[in-house]
Amino acid sequence: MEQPRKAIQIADLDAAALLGAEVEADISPDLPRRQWLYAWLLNPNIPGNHQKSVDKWIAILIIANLFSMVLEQVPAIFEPYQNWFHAFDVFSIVVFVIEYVTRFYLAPEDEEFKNKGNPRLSYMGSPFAIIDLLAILPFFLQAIVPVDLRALRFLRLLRILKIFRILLPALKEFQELNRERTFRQKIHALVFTSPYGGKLKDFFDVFIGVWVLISVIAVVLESVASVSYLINIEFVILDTIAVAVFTIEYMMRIYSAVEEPGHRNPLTGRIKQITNPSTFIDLLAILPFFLEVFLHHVLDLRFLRVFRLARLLKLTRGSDATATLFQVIKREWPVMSAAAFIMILLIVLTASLGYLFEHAAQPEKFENIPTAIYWAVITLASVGYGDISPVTPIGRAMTVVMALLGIGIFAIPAGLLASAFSDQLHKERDALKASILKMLGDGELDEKEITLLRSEAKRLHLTVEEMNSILEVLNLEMENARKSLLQLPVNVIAQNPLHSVEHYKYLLNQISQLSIYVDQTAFLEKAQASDKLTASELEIWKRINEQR
Amino acid sequence: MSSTQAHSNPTKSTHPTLYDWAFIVACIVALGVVAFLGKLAYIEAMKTETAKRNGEAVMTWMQEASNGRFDADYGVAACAGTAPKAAGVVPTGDNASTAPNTWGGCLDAILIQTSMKTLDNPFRDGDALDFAPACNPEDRNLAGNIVLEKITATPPGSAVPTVISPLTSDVAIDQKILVRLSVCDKGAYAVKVAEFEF
Repeated sequence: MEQPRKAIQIADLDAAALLGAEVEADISPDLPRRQWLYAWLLNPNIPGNHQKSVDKWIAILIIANLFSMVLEQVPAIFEPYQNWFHAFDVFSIVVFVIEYVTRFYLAPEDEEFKNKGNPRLSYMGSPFAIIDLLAILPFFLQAIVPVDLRALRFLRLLRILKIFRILLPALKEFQELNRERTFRQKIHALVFTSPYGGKLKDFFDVFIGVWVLISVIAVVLESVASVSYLINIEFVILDTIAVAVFTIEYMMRIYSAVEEPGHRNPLTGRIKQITNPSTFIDLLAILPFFLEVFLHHVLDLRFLRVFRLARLLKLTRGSDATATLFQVIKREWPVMSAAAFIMILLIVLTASLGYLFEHAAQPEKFENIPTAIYWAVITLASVGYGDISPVTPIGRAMTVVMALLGIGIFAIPAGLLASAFSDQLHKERDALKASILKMLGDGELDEKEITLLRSEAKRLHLTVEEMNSILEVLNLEMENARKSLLQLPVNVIAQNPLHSVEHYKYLLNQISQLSIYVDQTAFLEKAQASDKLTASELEIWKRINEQR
Repeated sequence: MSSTQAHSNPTKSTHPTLYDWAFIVACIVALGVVAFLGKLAYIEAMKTETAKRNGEAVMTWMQEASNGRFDADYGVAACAGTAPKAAGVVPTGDNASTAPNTWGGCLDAILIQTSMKTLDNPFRDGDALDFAPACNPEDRNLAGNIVLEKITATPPGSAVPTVISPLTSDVAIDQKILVRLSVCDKGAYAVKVAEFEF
């Protein structure tokens, strides 16, 4: 079914709404207290209220609880901070209880329960409410009945079920979006960017991102002897889980790659995907684990652990800024390679001269040209460790020149990159302007086009003010275009329906203005007396005057 | 690369195909392999943990010994802070005091007379706990060994506050010494357990 289209002019575009910026919720303070509270806290249909924030913070608290439960299993962490863990547990319970009680109190306002016989009872019987209750019940249970600690810990795991309050709607949306699609297409929607991913794809990305961060933090902490000594086993378990997650993601990516444009062939498409840099990073993230386990008897593969830090590169997959950086480097490569060539030339030349002048004076420091190259780079880059320095007058004089040259030569690539970055951003913003103009070419801006605009504006990190200024410029440009339209012959104007409408409006406006300034009686008298106007022409004149 | 134009061809069936099932099975197998390899890594890591526990046991014994080894009737004579008197010999003149105890003799006594004799090297099944002068990644056979090093303070104004040297057999233990205890992990890299006075 065709989407309902609404005509939006540039002047009607609201930059804040377009960028999804915070809008003031339109909630009357005169509402009854319960209704007012529901509108602010739980109503998902009121933009600008706190519902999204409430959901977000509850989700964060659930995940923090999961981490807390895992960390409690590590005596080296749990024992010294036992009180903090307990305090966090109490805090979580207080928040979850407040949430449960609030939802219970506001149930009569909820669309899902308000039409039931007893809304609050219906709420209590709903699956989500049962999960919420299960999340808090064990805490109170231990106060009343003596519960085995292990059983209590297991019961506390039920708190994690609360995450389904967020996951289930996303899953439902995903199923809806992928109703008529195959299993492989669904996998594709989950791991690749596509219009079928929905919120579940966002959650999947967050899940992978969290594991990337956890595993990278683990690698960093592993290098701290005192930490590694206490929780080495936990690091091994953590790494195994992370590798399991990344391996499945890698397999999903390879399997569903054929759904990507240009990857249709099952074999060559997948090979193309495997050799793709971002997928290669995925492989690099899991490979050390397998190599280390298989080959540790043969080789010392400790160095491979550092490659686990490559997992951090997985986070660049969704980053537009990284894509822009690569684009800029690619574009400026000829100039940058020229700068690099001059830099290498200068380094080799000065290192050779340094060796020539200094070797005789300090043979142990300027032992050979490679050592002199190290000295030249450190001097040209203005680092100056001072471990190797010239002592001969000519050597010192050359160092002065080198240091001054180095400032300029080493700054060239940085300057090039900075200006190319700014240039690229301008280009992309111009492209955005052009696409808005193109979208408005038919005089209408539908939901799909607004979504595209929103994502582009987000990609370019535009603020509301910047978006407003772009829209103002566009508005002016369109106004000018409208004016210049009048200079065109009518047959050219008629080729574009929008231009025709604009022209018609202009003509009507002209008639309307004429009717304001002209003496109506004299006009009608003249028109009727000499049969200058036909009856229908006269009728149109009268209608326009009536409208005015 | 954006894939907003991903294929969305209408399909005849949305049920998993044979290839889909093969993919699911491959995923399960991959998970199984990762779990198995994880278990192997866990077992190896547990060996290092056992080596660390061995090191801690040695440390505990030595710390306890450091309190009493200067007493006259200390049990493990070879580790005593004062030289043991040979039975029946009455010291006279220059021989009034015999040579001080050394770490080599003390170590032998520790491995025979104390609870240390029950400790095994986790990386070599059945082998008793052994001591090495240093961990060396070039020699994997050192994995699980205990390394004891002597920490000597340097004179004031030195570039480094202490100097660490291997606690070799001939080092005299007639005075209190500062010791660093490490164990060699599976790659024969040193894992520091503690620094204490002996």
